[in-house]
Amino acid sequence: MASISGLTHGMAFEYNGLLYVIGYRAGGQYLRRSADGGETWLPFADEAEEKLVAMPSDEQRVAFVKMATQGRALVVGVPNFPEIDVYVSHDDGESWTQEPAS
Amino acid sequence: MALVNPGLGESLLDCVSAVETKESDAGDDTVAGRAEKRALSGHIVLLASFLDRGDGTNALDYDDAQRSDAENYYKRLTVGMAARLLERLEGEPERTWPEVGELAQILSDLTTTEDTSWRREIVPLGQDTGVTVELRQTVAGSASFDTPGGTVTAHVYQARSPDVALNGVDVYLLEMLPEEGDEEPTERYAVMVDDPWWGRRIQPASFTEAPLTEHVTMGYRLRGRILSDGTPVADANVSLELVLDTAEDGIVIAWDSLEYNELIWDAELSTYVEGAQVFAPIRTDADGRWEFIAPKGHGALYQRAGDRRDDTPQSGAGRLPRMLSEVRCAYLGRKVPVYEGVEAVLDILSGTLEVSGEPDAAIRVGTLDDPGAEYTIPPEGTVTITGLPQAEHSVVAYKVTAWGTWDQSYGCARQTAEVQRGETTSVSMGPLEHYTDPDMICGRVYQRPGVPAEGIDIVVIDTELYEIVGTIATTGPDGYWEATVPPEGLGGQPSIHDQEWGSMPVLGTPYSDVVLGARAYAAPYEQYKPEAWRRPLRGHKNFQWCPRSVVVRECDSGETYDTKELDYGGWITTGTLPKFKYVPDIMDLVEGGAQPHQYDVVVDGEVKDPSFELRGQPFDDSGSGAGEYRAAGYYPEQKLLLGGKVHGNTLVGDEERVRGNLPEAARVGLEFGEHARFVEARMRGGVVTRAGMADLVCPYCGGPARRGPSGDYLHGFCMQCADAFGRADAMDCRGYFETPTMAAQAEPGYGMRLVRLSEREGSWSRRVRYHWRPDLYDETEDFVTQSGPGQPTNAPRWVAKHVDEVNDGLGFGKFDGDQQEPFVPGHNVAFFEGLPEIDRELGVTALKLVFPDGHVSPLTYTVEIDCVRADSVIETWTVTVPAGTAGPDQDDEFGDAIPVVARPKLVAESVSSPYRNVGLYRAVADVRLVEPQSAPGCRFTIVNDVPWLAAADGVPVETERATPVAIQMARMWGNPHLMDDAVGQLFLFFAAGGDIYMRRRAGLPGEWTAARRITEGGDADEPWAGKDATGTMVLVCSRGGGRVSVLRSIDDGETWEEVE
Repeated sequence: MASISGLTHGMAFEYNGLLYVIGYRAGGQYLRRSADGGETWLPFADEAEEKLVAMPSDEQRVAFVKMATQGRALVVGVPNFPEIDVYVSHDDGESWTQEPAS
Repeated sequence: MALVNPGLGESLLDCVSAVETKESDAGDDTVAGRAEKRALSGHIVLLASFLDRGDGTNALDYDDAQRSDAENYYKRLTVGMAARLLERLEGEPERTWPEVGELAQILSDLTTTEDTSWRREIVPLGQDTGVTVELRQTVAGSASFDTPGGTVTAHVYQARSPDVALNGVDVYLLEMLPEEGDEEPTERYAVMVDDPWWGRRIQPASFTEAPLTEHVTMGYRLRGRILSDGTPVADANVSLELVLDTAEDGIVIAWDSLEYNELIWDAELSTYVEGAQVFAPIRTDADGRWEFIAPKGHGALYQRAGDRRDDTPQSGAGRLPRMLSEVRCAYLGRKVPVYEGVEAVLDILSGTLEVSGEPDAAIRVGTLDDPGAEYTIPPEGTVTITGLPQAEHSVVAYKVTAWGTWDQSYGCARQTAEVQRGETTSVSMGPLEHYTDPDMICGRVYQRPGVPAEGIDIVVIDTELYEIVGTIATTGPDGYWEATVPPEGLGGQPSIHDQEWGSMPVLGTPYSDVVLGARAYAAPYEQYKPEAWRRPLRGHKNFQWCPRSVVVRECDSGETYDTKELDYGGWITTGTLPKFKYVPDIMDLVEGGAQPHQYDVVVDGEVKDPSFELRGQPFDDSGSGAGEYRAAGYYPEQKLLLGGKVHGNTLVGDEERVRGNLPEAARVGLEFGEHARFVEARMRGGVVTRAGMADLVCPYCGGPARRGPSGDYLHGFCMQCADAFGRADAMDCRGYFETPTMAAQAEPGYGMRLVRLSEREGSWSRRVRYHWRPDLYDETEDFVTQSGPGQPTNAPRWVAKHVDEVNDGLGFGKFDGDQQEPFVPGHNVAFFEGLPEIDRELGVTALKLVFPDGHVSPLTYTVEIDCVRADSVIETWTVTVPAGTAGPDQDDEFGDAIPVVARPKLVAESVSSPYRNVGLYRAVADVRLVEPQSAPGCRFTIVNDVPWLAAADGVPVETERATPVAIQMARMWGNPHLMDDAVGQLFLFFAAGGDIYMRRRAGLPGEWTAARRITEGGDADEPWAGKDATGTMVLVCSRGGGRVSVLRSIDDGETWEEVE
């Protein structure tokens, strides 16, 4: 079983054979992707295996969904007391945008 | 007959009807909120219609004297429910509709003598629902309510047969709510007794027409008797051990009726201090009897599985979140289960042992593995030994020659006997075996007294050549062996040479008796029995063991032997300790002889009885040495204090400033929060989770606090301190808890959970990950002369201090806008840690602004404060000091305080070191004025906001110490969950303040709706939601008291209903 050193409060989501894992590391939430159930990690465009999604974040598990519609956007709800910050990616996790607080 | 308020009834009807419609349209309240408003407004409308006199007027238009009794009854109900509806409308989600103001005015006009200060509650009973319409306290055990159908009376008892009335307890009249479309009140009732200590009980099992009389019993009797060898023990301190079965933590152990010392006047210190006399709240009478009435209502500490809130099938179907599965009476380490209606007799030295055997045979009878006392079997063949403690006893029979030496031609199998309290146990030794064959040797080998050792080889060692000649026998299942001696002799010394059990000679010809090992234990003598730690130098005599506190350690190998509790109190090793070492080198063995193991008794990691050897069991005093090879047990000849405790204080929330209303919380430094009654503090991480309940014992003297609703003392205050100091409020016990004694465990410490169970005030369960210390100081006698608002008893214990109260008083820094350099830097945490009066790690702290004595801020100021994190990174926060903010003065000795970061500490602790953006710091680097341009009269000091976060790995427990903790309970926050549906809608759920909230957006381009609360009660967390093909959404969340709520929505989360 794959283990990811230093990543805590992990959250996984599987979609069409792709496994997404998000976890907390040093004040932020980081994303990994795998096409083989976590055996190996798919590199992002910058060759990194792990992409920063949100900073700052509370040390908690995030909420995560890959939408079935609207271009399969990735949406993450990040606990950052007293708000739940929402981040969206339209390129499968390559880049993330924090939605303005409403 | 003049109209006092013409048209008032009609106005009320119109107003509430309008509210009902608007509420229905808004649909944005919680499930519980919507249901309560619907029930209240529906019933108010029904009552207002019902009170229509048919002459164009309404009974509500008149004054009380002009209404019939029945009309006045319904008017009272209307006022109560309208007040509650108004309270709801003014709460979240706040309604600003004109009807709210209109309802307030109608209520003002309508109210005459009604008490609207208590909260009306919607209460389910079976398949029906009622509302609390009237409240009374019992007088002489009774409360009556006049209703249009007759009188409803509740006779309330602590216990029955003989009856003990329960006085001063709240009794509510419940009226069943009508069905949808009904036009008249149901006039069906039930009564509900509700008290934080006694719990809740509703009777009868269904709403019933008046007149109605109910007998409600809120407790049950626990009775017992303490005897010593049949003689009653008067004035004995009796404690109770509670075995709780809990939803979250399984079995939990709690103690009640703990021992405490009397208070005596100390002329030198001019205060009351602890005296030598020890009491417990439960004590025996002259006949050795004791009695205690335990509360059994719903949510009460002593509630059992069958003690239900009501007798409906619905109530009986669910599992209780906490129930008492057994209660044991404890006295001098002995325990016996106590059941309602049965006197639990605890005869502490009442065991009798009858030993039969061959007349004139010598026997030794020892408790456990003691060498034992010597007896002789009388001519009639049986010796009776009385006054024995409940334990295993070992018996050995042997023959003594006329010269007083052990006659080695006789043998006998050893026996063990389980002696029970108050019972006679018989053991037959049989006739002694007489061995006369000169060519045969034999014997028996035991692992410990009475337990045969099978498979032990008897070898012969040549003591000149230092070698093993051979094996002449092996012990059988009964430990017996025999061998024939050849004419040329054995060629050496028969011996045991076993890697596990050691090397030693087998002495005795033709019969030998060898015991390889024995156990270490606490002797049954009170002066040597251990005690669970209570206070410095003092222990609980009634509790004498705590799991994992005592181990026995072999000095060379470090191998440890665990212990378990003994029936007579104290401890015993679970395994047998070998007496002699295995000596592989035969020459060493022959030259040096058998080499005994050395053991230590280790208590909570500290060697308390070093380097002992197991004793031997001689059969005579001739010095033959054979007794050395019959191992006997060992007990320390000293009293050991075991373990340590956690004691602490807890408040709920962080909004209310603590002042003189909660003096004990203020004294230990809890500065924000409110008191919640009977909070249970569970310590997880030991063999069994242990719990202490707040509000039961005094933090100063350990004496009992008043628990129930009535009595001669103040509720929640110490009764002994009240008597000693001559004032009812001498010592505040509210929020203070003390755990049972636990084994010392500094690393990683114990995990803590705080639990409150109350249907009326809310149930919750919250883990506390870290160790929150309330103070800068350890417990010390130095504070004996301290005085202050929280310390009317001059309690000689720790006292919370702020960092500006030590050393040069600068704290973390001072700010004075009138000075050229307004900010004067103070010190960091390391500085305070190094002070001799502190000298320990403090951790990190939340910060707050406090103000000088008598100072009042003339303007509103905004400042920026640079706070230094644990990793030295600076985080800057903007803080506003409103005009009028004041320091302590004659009217308020606490003064105002402003937190630098408004974040609940238990939420902050969820972020690990260096605690980014959560408000936990080690220093202040700078303070700058933001506005106005100058700050005349702006003065404050930055200090720690206690409690400190002192350890990040649980609550440490040290031996013979109490670890102080102080916790401001916060409700759950965070744990978000996202879902989308087939049409691209996104739903975000999360917990805030212990309630579940939801936001929704119609696809990514859309806007999030405002967060709306779905649950209420402050006990919800971990939301998860899904939507099925029919469009129905299901929300699941965990709730306090160890349950899960399932809610359903068919309109995309607009409205929710709880799935029954």
